[in-house]
Amino acid sequence: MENLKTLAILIPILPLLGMLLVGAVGLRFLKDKSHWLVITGVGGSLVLACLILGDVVSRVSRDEAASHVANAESAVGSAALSKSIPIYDWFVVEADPAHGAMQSAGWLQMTFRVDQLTCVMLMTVLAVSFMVVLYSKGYMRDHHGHAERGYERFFAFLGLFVFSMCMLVLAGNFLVLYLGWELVGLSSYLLIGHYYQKPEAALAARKAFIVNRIGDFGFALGIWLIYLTFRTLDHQTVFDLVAGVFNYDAGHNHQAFESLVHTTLGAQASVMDFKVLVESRITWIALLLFCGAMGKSAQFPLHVWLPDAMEGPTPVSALIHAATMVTAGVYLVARCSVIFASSEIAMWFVAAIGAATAFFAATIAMTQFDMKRILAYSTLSQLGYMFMGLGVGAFDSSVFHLYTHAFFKACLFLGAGSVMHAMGGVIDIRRFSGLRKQMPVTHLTFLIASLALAGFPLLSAFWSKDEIIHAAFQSNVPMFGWIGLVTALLTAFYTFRMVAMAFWGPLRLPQGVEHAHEGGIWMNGPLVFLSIGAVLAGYVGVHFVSGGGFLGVFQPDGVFHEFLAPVIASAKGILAGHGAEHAGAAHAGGHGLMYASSGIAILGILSASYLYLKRPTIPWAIAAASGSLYRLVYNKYYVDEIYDAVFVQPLRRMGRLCFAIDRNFINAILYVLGNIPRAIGFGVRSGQQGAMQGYALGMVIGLVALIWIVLNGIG
Amino acid sequence: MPQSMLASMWMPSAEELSQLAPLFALVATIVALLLAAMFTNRNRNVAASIVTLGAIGTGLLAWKRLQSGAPSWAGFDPNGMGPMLISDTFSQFFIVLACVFMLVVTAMWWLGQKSDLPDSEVHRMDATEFFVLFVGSAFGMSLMVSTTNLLMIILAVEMASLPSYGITAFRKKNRVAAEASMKYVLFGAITSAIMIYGASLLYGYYQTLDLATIGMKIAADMQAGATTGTLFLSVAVFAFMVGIAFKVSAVPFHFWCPDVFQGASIEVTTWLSVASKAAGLGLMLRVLSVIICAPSAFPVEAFKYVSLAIAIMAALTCTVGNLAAYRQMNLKRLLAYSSIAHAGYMLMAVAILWSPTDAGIGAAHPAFSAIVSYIIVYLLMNAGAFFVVAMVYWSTGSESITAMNGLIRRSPMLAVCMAIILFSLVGMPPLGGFMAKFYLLMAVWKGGLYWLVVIAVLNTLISLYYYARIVRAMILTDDGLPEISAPMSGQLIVAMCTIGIILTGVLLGPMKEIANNNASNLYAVVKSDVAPRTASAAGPSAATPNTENADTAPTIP
Repeated sequence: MENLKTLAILIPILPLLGMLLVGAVGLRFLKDKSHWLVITGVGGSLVLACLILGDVVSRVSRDEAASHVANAESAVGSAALSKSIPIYDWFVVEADPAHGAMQSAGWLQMTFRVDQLTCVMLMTVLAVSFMVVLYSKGYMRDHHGHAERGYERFFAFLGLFVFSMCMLVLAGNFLVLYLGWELVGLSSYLLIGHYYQKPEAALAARKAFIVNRIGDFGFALGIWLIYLTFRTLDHQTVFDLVAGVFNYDAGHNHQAFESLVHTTLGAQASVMDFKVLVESRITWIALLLFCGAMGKSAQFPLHVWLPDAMEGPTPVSALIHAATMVTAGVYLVARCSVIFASSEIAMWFVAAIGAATAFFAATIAMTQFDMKRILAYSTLSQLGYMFMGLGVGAFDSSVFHLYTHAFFKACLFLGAGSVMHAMGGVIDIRRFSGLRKQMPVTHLTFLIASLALAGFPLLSAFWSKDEIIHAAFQSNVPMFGWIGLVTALLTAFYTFRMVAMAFWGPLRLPQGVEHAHEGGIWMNGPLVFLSIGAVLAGYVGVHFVSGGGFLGVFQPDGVFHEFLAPVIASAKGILAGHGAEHAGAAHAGGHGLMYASSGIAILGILSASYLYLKRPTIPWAIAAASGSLYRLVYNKYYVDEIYDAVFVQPLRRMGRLCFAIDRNFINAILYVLGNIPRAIGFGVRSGQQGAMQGYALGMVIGLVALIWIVLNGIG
Repeated sequence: MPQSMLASMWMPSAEELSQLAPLFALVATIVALLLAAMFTNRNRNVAASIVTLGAIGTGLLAWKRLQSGAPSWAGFDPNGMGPMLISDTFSQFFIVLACVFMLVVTAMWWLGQKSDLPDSEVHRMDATEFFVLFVGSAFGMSLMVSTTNLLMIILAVEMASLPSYGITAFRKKNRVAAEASMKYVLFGAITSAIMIYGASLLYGYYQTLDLATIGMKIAADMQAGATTGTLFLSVAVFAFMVGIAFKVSAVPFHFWCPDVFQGASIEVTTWLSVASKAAGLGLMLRVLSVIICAPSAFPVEAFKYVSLAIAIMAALTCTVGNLAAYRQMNLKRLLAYSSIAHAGYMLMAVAILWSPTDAGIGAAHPAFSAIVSYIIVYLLMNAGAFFVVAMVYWSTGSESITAMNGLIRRSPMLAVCMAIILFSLVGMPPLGGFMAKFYLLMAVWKGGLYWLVVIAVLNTLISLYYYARIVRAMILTDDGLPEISAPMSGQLIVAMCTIGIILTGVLLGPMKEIANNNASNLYAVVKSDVAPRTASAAGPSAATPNTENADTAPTIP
């Protein structure tokens, strides 16, 4: 435990130290060497995360070994892993006997939690962060290798982001989770607005911040409701209570549940009342929490900020707006899987929002020309997949997809950044083509990552995406499965539309760029590493069988799923209790689907390559023929315009009204109030001395009134 | 009575004198200043150095006593009845605070003299006089927290006030400053008169100057069933408190405050905004806890309306402060009203010192630790805020809120720190101001004054507006003013204040623990050391009033 605690504390602290040092002395002393501190900090955290992973794995295997000798009950879930690790009491409140024991012990502790899910997230986040920090060292410079303006600021904020994300992932209760949640929001805002002199960047940063506030408002309400219901914010206690309530009728272990209720809510709490209360509120809690997830993970209808956020520097888009921060919503739902699993409505809602976002974002991506925006819509779409997977109960598959997605999407973004760097800031795929000769490393890595995104067989996303689609078909709404398949086709198509237009065909460069060049070792190294990840990362999620399985060897449900199983066990238990077809766990079987989706991916890849390489006129003709439909999609379904008309303008008018009231009404009242002593004085004597008399008179009147109160009280 | 006092006039021993080392160090600083002026041709840097050394020395002496846990000492009491001066954890703690703040203000003076403003001419010419008055007022404030004797309290308040009048008017050619000082003097005179009147009533009634003894006698009277003197007593105690309320700038004794803060130069404003209030609150805590806590079973009933009056005063103070700040354009005046509002919050906790707690004897009253931690955070916030205003002033010559326009571009460091400080002043989590305010209101809530908590929360909402107005000017309004040339050391001080504010908020739990421990140390002195000692000394007369000892027993008029 101590070991875990030390590691868990150090992980966020290292990047924070890097950030503070760069912030303090960067501008003056470090200047264009500022990256070293942050690279060291993030790299150190990565090493520590590996240590934590090793520790957790060894605990789990020790547990398993124990389970062979002892009875199975005692070994289920490594006891230490499901407990919060108290760091210190953030908020001490004196004992209040009216409430339970938890309160008097200091109800808002700074607690961390290290379990299997935390490890997976930490590894993903830190590995990608480390790559991106290295890449930024090469990217945030001009062609002569001089650091851009704000170089040290950029690295300081990257450090802040990594710190915040680690806090979010390590959180052991909802308050710390919220703290990390808001901190990543802040660092996202700061980094999107990095080029704040550019009005679009400043506006995009503001938009991201405000849209996230809307989601976070719901999130905060959800946390508040959790507190009102459970009288605690500790993750595991809340989850145990929820699981206890929803397994109550299944009827085992009543005693443990009842004693937990009594320790948390006080001895006089009625278990039955509590059960009714939780059952009535759980859907609201889940939906409110999901509001936060929708904002942070940019799900429809709160998705509007993410494409605009591409105004930030490309490493930021890769790290925050593709690989890590936007997956915080997925992490939240997976972490609270027990809460979501307890409410069928919430599960359906999550799946529906995910499926809708996956499909609509993919259609928009088909029509865009800005490489980073295509990738942004692709991110929306992939996040939609993850939520769809969560909603149909395949929590482990979604986290698996989150993990594989981080590698290939970061690789794609960094590749796009490499192109942008070479093209002098131009990112519109209509303005250049045929870069494969001049930028071989970028081309190759981009191609691999694109194949992964398209779901090409045997690459990482193939495994994870297929599991989600499979689970969707198994759920009681097979419609989601069909949406998944169609979206897969669209994904393969728009991905290779982009690859074909940018990298293949005849060489064409935008005006003013004579020669496209690679970005050097700092930029290529991370690209290569991430593309290797895009190929291999998926293999932790499959195991090899002889005979049967996909292509005769591959069977889903690898070590990854076994590793995560204890974390989502109780959610799965509740889902099974519902008796519905939520049998998400059984990934086995469904090889037919794997062949089908391989076919779909290859079909999408080939058709896009054919259309955009050999017959580039056909897509234009189709676009022209479909007329208003094309314009609808091209303009992103006019969501921004609708929001402007429905929310922004009325709010702006209200703001003006409030301003007018403040100026004309409140100010006037205060003016009068403020001048009363002066006015009294004016009555007694005019001129400047008058103020003095008024003051004195005011004082005497006040004194007399107070003495009267001292003598008589108010009544 | 005078006869006996004269007869027992005695010389204190060296050991006793050493208890007062911090106070002597302050006096020595003044003497050194005057002497150095003679020999160095009034060199201003020498003067500033002496003050810096003096503050550090005094602070270290007080800190050493605070750390060593030396037993409290109540000295200079000829017949063991009423100590004139007290040296205990409580007084040392406030002296340390005063010294820290003296250093901040001296640093501000040092940096300010380099600016190219009319003020700096005064800085250069009359440094010696300025510092003599400045250290004098610090000495007065240190005295204020080191005594429970009525006479000494009055002397200490005057000692703190008189030099303050002087340094307020120190911008000699400035009309506003002269007028402000005039107001300060007049109001100081009136409130002193009321205070002395209250003190004389108390003395006349109980024939003693020692507050602890007075507390014992009140309790004894109440237990003996006396009812006639209650109202008279309440008025006497309240009138006595008026002088302190003036130092704290509580409504309706606050009128001097905005004018003085605007008129005085920025170092003086900074000094008065924190030190004067901290000393006043320290004295108030001391007076009340000594009176209330001397006997174990104090009849709270006797003072219930005094408590109510203080609660109303607190509510008025923070409401008036916040409403008046709402439309200020002058930054110093705005911060003056803001400091009135904060004094109001702190007074709220004073109002519940009467309410009983279940914490038990010897443990700090929650109000006590709440106020002490509020003062510390408030010191950080105000030092930071005034320093930023000062640096903007030095480089623009303007104290208007428009001088802050576009600060985020002109000096990003200062703007970010200032924004954090302002949000902490509002009381936003997770900053120190939130912690302080939360524990304060928590204590008030537990004390049962629910309506006061509601008023405080509403006031917080109002205050958000005017603090946010400064943030708005700094970040959203930019009219192309030139960059601020802020001295590095000044920025460092602001950054340190900001980090302190963030740390007190983030490490809220550990800080609260420290505050609780220290508060019970501070409190224990008042409660268990001084009180029993006087209790045994005054025991017979207090236990059996109106009997053989006619000298000390009260005669109810």
